[in-house]
Amino acid sequence: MAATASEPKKVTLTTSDNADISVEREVAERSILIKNLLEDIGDNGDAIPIPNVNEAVMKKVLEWCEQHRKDPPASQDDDADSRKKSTDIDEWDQKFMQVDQEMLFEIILAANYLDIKALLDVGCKTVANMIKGKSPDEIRKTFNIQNDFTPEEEDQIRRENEWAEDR
Amino acid sequence: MGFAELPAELQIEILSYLERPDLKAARAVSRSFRDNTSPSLFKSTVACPRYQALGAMQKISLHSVYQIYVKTIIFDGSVYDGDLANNEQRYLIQADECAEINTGFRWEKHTRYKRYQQLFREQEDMRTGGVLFAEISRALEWMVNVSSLVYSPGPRNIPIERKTMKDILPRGIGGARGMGVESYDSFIKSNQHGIHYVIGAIYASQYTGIHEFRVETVHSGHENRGTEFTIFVFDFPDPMHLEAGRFFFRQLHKLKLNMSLQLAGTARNTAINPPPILGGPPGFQHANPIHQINFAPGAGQAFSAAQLVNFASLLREAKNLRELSFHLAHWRPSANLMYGHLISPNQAIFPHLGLSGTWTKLRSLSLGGIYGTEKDFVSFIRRHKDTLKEVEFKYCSLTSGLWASVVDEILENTSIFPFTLNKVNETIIGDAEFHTLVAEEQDRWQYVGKLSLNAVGLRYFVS
Repeated sequence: MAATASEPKKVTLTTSDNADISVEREVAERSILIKNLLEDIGDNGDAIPIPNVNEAVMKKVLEWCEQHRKDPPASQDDDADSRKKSTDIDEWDQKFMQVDQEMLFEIILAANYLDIKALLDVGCKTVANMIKGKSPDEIRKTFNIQNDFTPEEEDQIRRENEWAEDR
Repeated sequence: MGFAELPAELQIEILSYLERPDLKAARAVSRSFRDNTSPSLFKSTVACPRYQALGAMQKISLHSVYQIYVKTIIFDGSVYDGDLANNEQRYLIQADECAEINTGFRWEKHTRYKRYQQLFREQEDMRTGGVLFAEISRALEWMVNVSSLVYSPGPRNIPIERKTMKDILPRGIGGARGMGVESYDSFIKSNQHGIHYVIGAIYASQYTGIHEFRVETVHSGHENRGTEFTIFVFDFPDPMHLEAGRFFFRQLHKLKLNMSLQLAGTARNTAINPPPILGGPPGFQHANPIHQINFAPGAGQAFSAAQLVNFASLLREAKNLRELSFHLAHWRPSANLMYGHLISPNQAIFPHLGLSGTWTKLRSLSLGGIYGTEKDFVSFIRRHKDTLKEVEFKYCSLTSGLWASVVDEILENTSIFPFTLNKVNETIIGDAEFHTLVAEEQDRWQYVGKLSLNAVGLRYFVS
């Protein structure tokens, strides 16, 4: 049967591990990178290569795009500071972000590469919430980080912290 | 893939979501955490006439890395109060009312008072002796990315000051009781003119990078509300101050101004009521009579038309404004109560505030607490219809005409969206004056509404 006009347009994305993923254009266009690519080269049916994102991460990113397909686009004048003041994350996104750290950081990298500001925002907030209220030692344990400071540098940090407000 | 493997710019982005106490903890994790938290920790610095705090700003400005992170200078408007610093008895009475510091032996309290007095003297020396001015000028040579100035009613304390300020009365708490003309004059200079030295320094450095000026509102309901920004800031003792102001306003793209027209006082004493019998303006009362304070002769005369004229001329000078949010604090239901002490309440204050000017790049407008005619508002919209994208009027009052006509103008002759009316009113309701109505009636005659879009994207007004 021939495709009807009302049938949603689809595009194919080829991931870094050579997997082809077919997805509705509206969903894929949550990515400004893909949106601009499609506008520039036109939708001629060819697969769009996404060399920096593998299949597993791409599927996860597209799951988020599907959920947020009707969200209004991010404004150019978005006040970054006021957006960052709240580290609240909506319930669906919280569950979506319940993945291991490896996947969490891969999603952040992909969101940054694909230019999906709202997803990057959720990813950053999730990691920031993992840091909030923790001591330096607890942060090191959370992210498996070595303390590479000399005692003099630690003193210097303490002194410099006194120059900035606490609020 | 772990946190450490993320590129530095993404680590910086993630860490920028943290509040300062968490940023400070994260800085102590590792060298890369220190490097990637510093842009957020030092993106603003506080300027004020206090040696330790200004010293902290100086250290940041001289640090070869941190100096470029500073985007915002926050001027802490809160001051140590001269009236308290010069009268131990008054200081001790005030300190006894403050639960956190009313402990200790009498000699301890005396020692704390002496420390307060010393801090007040330093504050005044730094302001009048040019230290504040010189340090900010110097800092601007190094902090080349500063793009905004914020006036904060304060108090904004820097951790390095913690020990010095321990157990003394916080800045912003104080009294300006019983002053004569002379001491009121020096009170105003100390209380309202500190920001002149920051703007003077910007002018002296010919620093053109500051495009945003934000004046924060006082926190109502808070015990210490700091020092409110008032029309007295535009009282220029020297023509050079006006010239510096012109230079500063000329660079602005974004102005967010919360200003009071009331007689300047400190914190709890913003409610000042010069008695009419002593030359104060008739009918000038504060919204919260609990804290009313009577002034001695002359205080009411401190208001001058020049303050309004200076303000209007600076606002008109800001030719590059893209965003203007201008709200007068302490809205009152009659023009007389709102600004009768400055101009005749028979006139709308709209044009006296410089709002009859034109800003050819203005995209966003928010006005609050302003009395004007329908013609004032409609004409403003007409003059800016090609550039204005969003408009809000909040607690604004029409002294003649109807809000419906303003809404019609926006709907029929502009493409403005969003547009919001929030508790606006007309001063004449039928045969009655709005301010004579009882509170419930007033509430009923204050309009609330906004533009919405229908299914085909056409705008319509919903009230």
